[in-house]
Amino acid sequence: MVATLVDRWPEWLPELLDGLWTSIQLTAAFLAVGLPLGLALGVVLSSTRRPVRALAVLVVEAGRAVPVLVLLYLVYFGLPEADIRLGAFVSATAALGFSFAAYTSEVFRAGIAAVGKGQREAARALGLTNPQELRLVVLPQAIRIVIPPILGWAVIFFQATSLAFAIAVPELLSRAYTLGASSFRYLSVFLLAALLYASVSIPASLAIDYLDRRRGPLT
Amino acid sequence: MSEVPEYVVRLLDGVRFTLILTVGGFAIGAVLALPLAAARRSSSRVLRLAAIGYVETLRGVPPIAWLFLLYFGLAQVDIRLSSLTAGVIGLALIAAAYLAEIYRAGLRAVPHGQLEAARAVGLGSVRIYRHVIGPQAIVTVVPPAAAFLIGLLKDSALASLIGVPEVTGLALRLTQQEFDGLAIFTAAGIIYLALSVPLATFARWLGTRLSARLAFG
Amino acid sequence: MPAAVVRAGNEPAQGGAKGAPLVRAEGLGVRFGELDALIDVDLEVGAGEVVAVIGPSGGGKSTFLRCLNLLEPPTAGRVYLDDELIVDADAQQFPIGRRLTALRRQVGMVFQSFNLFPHLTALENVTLAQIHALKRPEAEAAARGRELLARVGLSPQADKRPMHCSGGQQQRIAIARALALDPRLMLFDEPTSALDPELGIEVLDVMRELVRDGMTMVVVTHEMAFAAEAANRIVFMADGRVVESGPPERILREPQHVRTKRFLEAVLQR
Repeated sequence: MVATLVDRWPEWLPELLDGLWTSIQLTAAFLAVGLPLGLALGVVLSSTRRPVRALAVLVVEAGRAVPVLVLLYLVYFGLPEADIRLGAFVSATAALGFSFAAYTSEVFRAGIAAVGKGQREAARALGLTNPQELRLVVLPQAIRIVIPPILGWAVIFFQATSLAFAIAVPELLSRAYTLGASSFRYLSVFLLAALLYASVSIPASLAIDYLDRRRGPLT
Repeated sequence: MSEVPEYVVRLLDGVRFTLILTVGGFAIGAVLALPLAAARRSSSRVLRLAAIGYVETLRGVPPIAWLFLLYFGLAQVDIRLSSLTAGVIGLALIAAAYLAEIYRAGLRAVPHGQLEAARAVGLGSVRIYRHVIGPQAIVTVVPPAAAFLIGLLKDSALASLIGVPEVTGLALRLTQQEFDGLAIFTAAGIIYLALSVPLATFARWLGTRLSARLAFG
Repeated sequence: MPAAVVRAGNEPAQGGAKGAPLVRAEGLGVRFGELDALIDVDLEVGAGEVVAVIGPSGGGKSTFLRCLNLLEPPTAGRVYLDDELIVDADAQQFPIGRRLTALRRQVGMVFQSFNLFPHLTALENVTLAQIHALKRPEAEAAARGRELLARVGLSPQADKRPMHCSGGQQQRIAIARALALDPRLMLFDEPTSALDPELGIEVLDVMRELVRDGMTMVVVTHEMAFAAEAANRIVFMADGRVVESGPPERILREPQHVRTKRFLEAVLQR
């Protein structure tokens, strides 16, 4: 029984690994978009000016309330109407990046808030401007604080790259589906695909946990 | 974009399935998570490792892959589940994994002294969990569980990929007919937003009722 | 009591006697909602003067100090620097932007909880503001930084992070950091309150050095011995007001007000 499950695994592995590589590339791409955007939203959420903050809250709530799949479809099918034709990979990058930013903005905001008030007072007393205070004192510390939870979200969203299947990005899951469709061995191929996802996610999560415990007190 | 309200109405047919998937998956998962959380805290190493294995595996693989495995994969070994059944079971299994961890955190948050005091008064294990530890753990559990419920609402959209005619699935079908993707998916987004508010409120209400019921019922 | 610290060159200044005062507060008040933290405070500090502010907790001392470098915007009153009006709370005129940061650079502050930047080494703490606020070139800032760290006796700690330094060392780094901008006035907000008595001594020694070098200082403190020997004037504040002020010998030995007497009795005769 087990034999029938794994007998074609060696045959399928190169194709699936190629798909996994696409997934990883997509992950790198959406992180490149989502990390700076999430940080920017976190900074705006920490603003003392209410209208500015309210705008960011709106963007974040919209980004978090909508399923990632709907966002993907929105970008891929919706934007062409505004004459913006992005390819599948770019659409997926944009949708995942925006969604990632919306979820991590709260983490960044909390990290910024965690930097002690005394730090800011010292920076102000030294005559540093607000942007300088943010750039030189607050953000370096905030970023250090939020690295583990941000990495955690990165792992979650790495798994979300599987949704790009819906808009025909040739990532891991879509390759598995194609192989399954042609061989009618869905169970077998999806198990292998699941294994490959887990082989990235689980060690990554363990590494993040280790990182989190090792850091100890920050200040 | 002015057609958005019209599209919202046309997508309402899918809400039924969205709710079945979400609430069904959550309810079943919430029950399954109880023995799972217990196993996680068990003194038996085998049980503990099995529970950890389950949770880590469930969470280490994309939810859509589980749905595919249940719908396409099981069909191969002649277990043909309907897409809705596969969807609910898949979401339930995932919910069990996440909720088990939430329960664990909730139980850990109850001071150990409570357990000792209850034992000292001569209460048996089941009663202790039901009347003393359970109600207190629920207070810690409700917020993250409510948040997870909203997350599950969004994950229900995945079931569209195995053919369940819920909101997202209907929206895709509609777009292929009407070519108005922007407005249609905006309408879908609005529906999910609208659903998340009462769901969150319901979850919190349920938590309060459950806590009171367990403690004094 | 030890003899008063002899100042380099000049005699201890009498309040305001040497020409225009460096900083002057008139009718300064701070109100938080219903609470008056500071009420109608008048104070002048001459160049080279050392003023010690003492009093019970919550008496407004820290609030007053923080008004002088505008960490706390006053809700009433005026502040003058060199006879120039810099804050007029009654007319709602507060310095902002560049003006504000320029003013803050002239006033150095040392906090009770040090507030060193934990992600930077001691030297980096001292050079940060020089480079970014004063736009000094890195090499010059580093040289000055090392000089200041040497002055507070911490040359070996230059490349250490604050978390690897003792409390007393951290506070001395904080003093060096404040001095790096060549301020004209140094404000100390209970600099030794968070330190063990033994570690506090090293900080007080550094402060005595500053006094000897003629720095204008306003020090909020509970260290009565330090106040007695180093200050030209002691100001006693309670319930948000200045109750009494005068030379240390008079205030500490013959306080005029009942409140002052009560406070000193509690502090000096524990």
